[in-house]
Amino acid sequence: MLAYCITETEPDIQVASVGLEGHAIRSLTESGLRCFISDYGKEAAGKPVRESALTFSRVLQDIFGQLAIIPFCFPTLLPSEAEIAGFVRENADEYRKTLSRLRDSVQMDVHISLPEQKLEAGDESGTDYLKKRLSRHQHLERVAEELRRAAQPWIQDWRQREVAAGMRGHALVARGLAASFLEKMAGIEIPAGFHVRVTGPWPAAEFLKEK
Amino acid sequence: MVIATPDQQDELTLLELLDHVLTTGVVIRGSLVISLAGVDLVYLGLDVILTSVETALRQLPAGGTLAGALPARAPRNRKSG
Repeated sequence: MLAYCITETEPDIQVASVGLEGHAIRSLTESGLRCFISDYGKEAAGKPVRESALTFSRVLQDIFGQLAIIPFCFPTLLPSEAEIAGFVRENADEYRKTLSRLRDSVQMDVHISLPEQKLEAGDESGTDYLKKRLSRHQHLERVAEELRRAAQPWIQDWRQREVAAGMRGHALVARGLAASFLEKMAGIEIPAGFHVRVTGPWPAAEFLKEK
Repeated sequence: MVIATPDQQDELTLLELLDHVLTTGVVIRGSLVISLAGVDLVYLGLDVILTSVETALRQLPAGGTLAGALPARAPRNRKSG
């Protein structure tokens, strides 16, 4: 079985998507939660992972478009519905609280990148390199903070982390305000040299754990 | 500033979509998933998935398969049945 996501049992939703290999999406209910699953045959194991992952993504977006979800990382495979039900049952208290907390929220991602500065001749020392790394980190943090402040009225929570390409911010936003959050972000002037990309709405996967 | 939403997938890079399904969400670890074993092929895939799928996928050529991209490993801690 392939597990897609966990949701609250209400409201009732329509899931039109088929899952991997055309298998129907179905749900099981356990401990006041609903888990969406589909069959997953051995034949799927040899298929291109990219196509399978995109199909998985489409299913999640379909369900997430209707209510909050706790997604499973792709691919989460379990041998039977009983095993999936057992996993949900063991974690039901935590997942019910999480879904209640995130019921009306979505995640918006803010990718901030700044091209790496190349070391020039004469800059070969480790100290020079570390100084440039520190400067880059501080610039990225400053821009992230400016963006966070500009969008503060829309943001319920904010988390950020440094990634290879720069900084990634995650904003928790009320579902009904996602469009206006994007509109606000589009109007923010970005300092020269930086590239900012805002995507969403996504399931609030970065906020599953409380701080 | 670039704005992109999941329902406008031409604006979202493939990597961003994959990144979300591969690196976020609940990860089931340990014996629960490992108990899927019983068929060595399934177990091997599972072992890799739990440890390095993100890295493996980033290195795959377009259309490549996970099974073909990763070295076979001896099963560990496989439960019988």
